[in-house]
Amino acid sequence: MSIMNKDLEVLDVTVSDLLKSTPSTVSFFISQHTSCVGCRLAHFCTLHDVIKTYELDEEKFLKELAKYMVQNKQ
Amino acid sequence: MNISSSDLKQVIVFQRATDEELQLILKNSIVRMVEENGFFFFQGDSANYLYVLVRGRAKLLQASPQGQQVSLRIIHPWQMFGALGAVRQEATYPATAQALEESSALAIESGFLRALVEKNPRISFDLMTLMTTYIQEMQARYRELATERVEQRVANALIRLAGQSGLKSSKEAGIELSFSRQDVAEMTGTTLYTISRLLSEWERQGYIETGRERITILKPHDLVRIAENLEK
Repeated sequence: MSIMNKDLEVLDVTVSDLLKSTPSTVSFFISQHTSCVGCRLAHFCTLHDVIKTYELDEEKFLKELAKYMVQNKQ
Repeated sequence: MNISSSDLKQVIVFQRATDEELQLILKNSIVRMVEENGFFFFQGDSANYLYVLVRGRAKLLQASPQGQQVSLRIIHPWQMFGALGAVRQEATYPATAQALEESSALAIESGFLRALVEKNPRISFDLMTLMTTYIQEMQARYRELATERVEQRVANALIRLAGQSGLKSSKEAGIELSFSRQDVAEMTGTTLYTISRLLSEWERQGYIETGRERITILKPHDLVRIAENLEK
């Protein structure tokens, strides 16, 4: 799988799925200053929606997210 | 507790009173101490005294005939409260004053201040300043109750509905709801007119799209922002 495909897939994950599967990403969303943690509509929004809503830089967002995913594995 | 005339200068209504007047005020008043949850006066009592909080914190409550209570304002040290009697002779307190913590207040005879206000235009002017500030505050709160609160209520209802029965629509980030405007009006205790006006406004902003018995949330984040009073 190419990196690009992988990124696309990650962007399609909903916020609530990500928070459930990787609880450490709570800090990630807080660090991005989004209101995703605790949001009642989190299971409707994909990461792509988050990037669009908050007008974030996609590349930076994914890079930062990767750090939190790695942290979780340790 | 010793209160000096310079302490009284911190009270908006007394900021331009002369030292003699301030001394007179002190002479015609007593300090009342009320323990936590105690009362300075009750709604409906004769407004024989007006108060200046010296220490602690108090709140003004108004009860509806059905017994529901509304908090009108919180009083901090050197704020005046219960001053209606200084303006109207036969006044009763429109609200109850309850101490939120152990508090002391200077109780000034309403009749005495009424006479002082008649003699000193500066004091009456500063009393008007205080009153107009209160009126403006109440106008802002009335506006919030009449408009912003409904907005929040409706946004909350849509979010609740989305969580319970919303379907992810084909449109990006869209959530489909199968409810009519009438349904939403009944759920939020508002009128169909209010709902229509609000939903049209949200549609114009691009937050939602409405159809027959159908509401699509296009920008979930904006609804959450309204519901939760978020800035961004």
